[in-house]
Amino acid sequence: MARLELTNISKVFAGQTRAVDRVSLTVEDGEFVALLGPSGCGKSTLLRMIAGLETLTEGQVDLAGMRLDTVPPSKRDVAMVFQNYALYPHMTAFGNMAYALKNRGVTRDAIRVRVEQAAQLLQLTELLDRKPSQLSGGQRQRVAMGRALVREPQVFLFDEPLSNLDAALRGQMRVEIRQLQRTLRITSVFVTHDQIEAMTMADRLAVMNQGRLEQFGTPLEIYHRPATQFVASFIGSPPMNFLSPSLLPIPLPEGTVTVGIRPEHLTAEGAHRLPAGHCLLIEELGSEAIVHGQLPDNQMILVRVAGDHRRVIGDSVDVGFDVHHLHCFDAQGLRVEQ
Amino acid sequence: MNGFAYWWHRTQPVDHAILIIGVLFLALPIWMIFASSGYPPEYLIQNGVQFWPGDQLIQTYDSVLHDRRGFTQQITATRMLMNSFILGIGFAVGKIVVSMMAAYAIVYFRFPLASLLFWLIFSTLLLPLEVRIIPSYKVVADLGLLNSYTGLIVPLIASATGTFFFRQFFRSVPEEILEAARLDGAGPWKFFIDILVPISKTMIAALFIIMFVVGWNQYLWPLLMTTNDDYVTIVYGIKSVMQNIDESRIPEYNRGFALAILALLPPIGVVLIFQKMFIKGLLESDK
Ligand SMILES: Nc1ncnc2c1ncn2[C@@H]1O[C@H](COP(=O)(O)OP(=O)(O)OP(=O)(O)O)[C@@H](O)[C@H]1O
Ligand SMILES: [Mg+2]
Repeated sequence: MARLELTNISKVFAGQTRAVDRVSLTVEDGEFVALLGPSGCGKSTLLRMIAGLETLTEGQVDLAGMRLDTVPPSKRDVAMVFQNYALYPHMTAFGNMAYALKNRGVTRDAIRVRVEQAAQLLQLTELLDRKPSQLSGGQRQRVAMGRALVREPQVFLFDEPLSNLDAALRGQMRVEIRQLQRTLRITSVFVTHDQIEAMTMADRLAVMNQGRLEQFGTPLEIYHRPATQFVASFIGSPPMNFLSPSLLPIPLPEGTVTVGIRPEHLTAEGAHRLPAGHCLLIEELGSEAIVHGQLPDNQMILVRVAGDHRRVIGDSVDVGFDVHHLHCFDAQGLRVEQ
Repeated sequence: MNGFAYWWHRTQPVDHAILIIGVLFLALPIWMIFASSGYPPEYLIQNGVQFWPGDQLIQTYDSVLHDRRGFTQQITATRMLMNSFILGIGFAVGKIVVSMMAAYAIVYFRFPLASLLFWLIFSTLLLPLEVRIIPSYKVVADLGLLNSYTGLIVPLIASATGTFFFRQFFRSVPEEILEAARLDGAGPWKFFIDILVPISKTMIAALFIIMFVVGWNQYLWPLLMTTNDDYVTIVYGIKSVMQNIDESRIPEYNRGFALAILALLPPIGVVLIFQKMFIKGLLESDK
């Protein structure tokens, strides 16, 4: 069973930058985990350590109960899809997909069978004779997937494989990758900085910031119970409002310095009221609208309202909330339970 | 018709005229050498270089290619052409192989002083063969390689220019390609042969053209290296034919001219063949 275990792994570059800082996480067999975080938080570095393209400064990686980090990358049973696909430009799609098998001494007939199977799965059969330069972005992406797929690896690693595609194709590939992974049940780690991608695709989500793992859980856990203020602000669009406790008319748990509430949880019917403010700006999205309001104390808030709201700039903003929608954070930015 | 197109059409005949003049300027002397090689030397001495081909063209070329001449009356132009080919190809292939491997080591392997070594190699660009010709001769002589193809080629194949070009090229190859190959189970040798060499195709073709012509045109080194007529190259052969005062006591201009024309053909052929590959490679690769 391909259970991937990272124990306290760190990466320090050139003696100073701590790109990855004592991250521990376990990807269960067949699970699809998304690594999410802002640019430069160490997602790629973490992935590359699993692949063996970076050495570990400290910590340990195990795959299926066996130590992985001492194995050279070519011997790891791990396949990676790169952001820019990294196809071999001089080989055809077939050649690209066959190369790893050839190096492993698989016979020609077996290679043909396996590549053709993968090509069928990815709808590449007609394109096998083409060079990467003769393929569209989405097709290249599929060849890159195919190259990883034919090896039948124990672990799939994806480093932002969809970020070079246009929105429509990205949406389509998102579904395809997920379906493929469900069918094959290959343990996968998927790096992205797109939260929609992460939320919709992943079984579990690892949110990283500045090299540290902030939270690891299912998308809904992370949405409903963010463990840190960073996670709360990073997940959700439009982003969560952070208010000072003095604005709230109710008692809050000990140690709370910031209270978070999502724009969609501020409603006219809420049991408790926020002080009234006025409306500065309205972003109309058709089915809904985002109201930017200003409360006393110059506190800004975002409120999500239905598309037929009929508000105009300058109107008063008078909203309320329910206690169970509040997220309280202490001075360190950690969640305080109510 | 907009202004630019109008201007374009009006100037086209002028442009063409300039280009045609340029072509004539470059090609006419070669034509006249070719035409003149069909006359006997006595005629050329009296009447100068000719514009219309003489009637002895076939005889001259036949004699040049098949009659043994030279200091020892031993060598034909066929042999000289072969020698030049061996030198040109050995020179070009040697340079490409050596400089690719040097660049591979410099770009892909972290070893102490790598960049220092590179700049050291690079600085030898400032030292052409002529500067190191005496020590090179001494080394080759001590190794007993005078009058051999090895001695003719090997001392010339270290190439700072080639190393530099390949280094720049390898550095432009995306790192992910190397990483993908590593994950695909390719070791350093496989990566070089399976990936790096094929994607350098255009670079190799371009360098081959240049290096073949340079090798073909080597004069000083073969002159110094070879005392045996068996190793005379054609470029050196032209000179010796012109100097070779025969029974007639007149330099054999017709033979010299014929040799010059023969010496031109292979480099032209190489340029034509590899240019096609070169352009095809450019169109195919998209990095
Ligand atoms: N080879 C390297 N040498 C030194 N520092 C590096 C190296 N590679 C990455 N870093 C640093 O490590 C940190 C994490 O980089 P990483 O590429 O993992 O970020 P990322 O989360 O993948 O970002 P992005 O979303 O932009 O791809 C960055 O601060 C980066 O500058
Ligand atoms: Mg990255």
